[in-house]
Amino acid sequence: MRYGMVIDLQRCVGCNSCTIACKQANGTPPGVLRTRVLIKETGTYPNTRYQYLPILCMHCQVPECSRVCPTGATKVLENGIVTIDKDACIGCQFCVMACPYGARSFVEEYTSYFPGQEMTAYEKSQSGRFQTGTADKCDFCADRVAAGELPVCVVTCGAHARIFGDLDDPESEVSKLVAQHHGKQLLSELGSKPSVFYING
Amino acid sequence: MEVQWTLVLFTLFTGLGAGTFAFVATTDLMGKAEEIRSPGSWMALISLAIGGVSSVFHLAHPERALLVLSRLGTNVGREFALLALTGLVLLLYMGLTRRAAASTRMTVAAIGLLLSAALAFTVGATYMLPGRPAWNTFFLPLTYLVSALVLGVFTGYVLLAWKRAGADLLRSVGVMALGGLVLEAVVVGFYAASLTTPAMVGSVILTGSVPLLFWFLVVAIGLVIPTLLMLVRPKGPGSKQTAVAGIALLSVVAGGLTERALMFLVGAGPTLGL
Repeated sequence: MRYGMVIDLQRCVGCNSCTIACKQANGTPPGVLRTRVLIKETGTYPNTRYQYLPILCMHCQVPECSRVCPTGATKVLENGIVTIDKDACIGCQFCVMACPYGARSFVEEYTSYFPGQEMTAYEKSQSGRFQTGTADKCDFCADRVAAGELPVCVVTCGAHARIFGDLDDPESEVSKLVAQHHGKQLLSELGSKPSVFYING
Repeated sequence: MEVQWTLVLFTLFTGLGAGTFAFVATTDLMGKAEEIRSPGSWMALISLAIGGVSSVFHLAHPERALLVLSRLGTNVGREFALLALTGLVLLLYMGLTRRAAASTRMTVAAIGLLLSAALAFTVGATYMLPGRPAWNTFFLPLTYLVSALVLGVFTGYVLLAWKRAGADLLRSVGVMALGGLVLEAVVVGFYAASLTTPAMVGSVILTGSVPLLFWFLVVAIGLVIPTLLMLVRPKGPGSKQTAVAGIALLSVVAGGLTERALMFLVGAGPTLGL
């Protein structure tokens, strides 16, 4: 079992609903994004277009973040999900520096989205899920996945640009899409073997 | 990315401490500069301690720092082990300075010299990360190593000038300092040149937002001024010699500090194909 994700760049419209859904579901504090969409404008007027590239933790099989972690707080689980044991994280931020995808954030403190005001009831309910002074990143919504659900970004994507499943199962949709569309991994030359594939379906 | 000042101070002070210990050990092995053996060792120890404390301040959870012992093979683990080992050997050397036979002391000095060089190099090698193209070059740890040696030589020079060492010894150290500065200029030059591979990063130093820091603080203050001071320094011992040595040391410290801070400013990640 190795969980992975396929992102169809032909389908992504850059709406950032994945970004917002992730923030809502995981209650991440200001400045912390577990997924985001990079946008680039190409061409010259009037022949211009936007290119969108959704980014999240690539759940690499050979993760740089895990290699440099001095305490072993970052681990690769048997199902392929890369996790952070917040109780073992010393907050050195080396994983944040080492991740080639910029997929990690450092939670310096959990503050309100509304400066000068008390945390809202929602923020208070979510703040307990974070330890200040530790690294944070996407965990493929591990709790949801363990309960048999899909990651919230996958469920939310209106264009069905994100597909989640078991890369070790050749009959899974993700495996078929990777094979059929020659799925590409970002910065594959680094040898970290990401579990997120990009296709132009 | 943002400058991590606690890490800048950690690398600067461990470099200063390792370089000073290396200088004391080298002069001991050469049978010279006995007068600075004790103050030099203390200077090195204090610098290493400040460096160690700075690294603790970098951690958000220092209470869990001992977990690093379980993974000494990681970049940070190697730094931790070498810093502790160098400190212990330095303490041993300081203990032996008064009591032990010269051969024993010099053996420890030789080990200390090797450990100091390894520490200074390893502190730089920690940042050789494939995810940071501007750091993933052999010239980065080499810059840290040479910078540490230069800091050590100038610290030794200050102590010798303060102790009114003889003109011959001061001249030898002056030549050593000049050689170190030339070597540092070459290594920094190679490092800056290596940044041109990812054009985005090269432009930061050469034409972007931080050339003032690079050309003014690293090159002019950190390299040119101490070089000029070494060339025009008084021949014999005296207060002028001490003043020149002090100013030169401050210059190389400013240059070393800026080199380390700039590393963070040029440390952008890959462009991810966009």
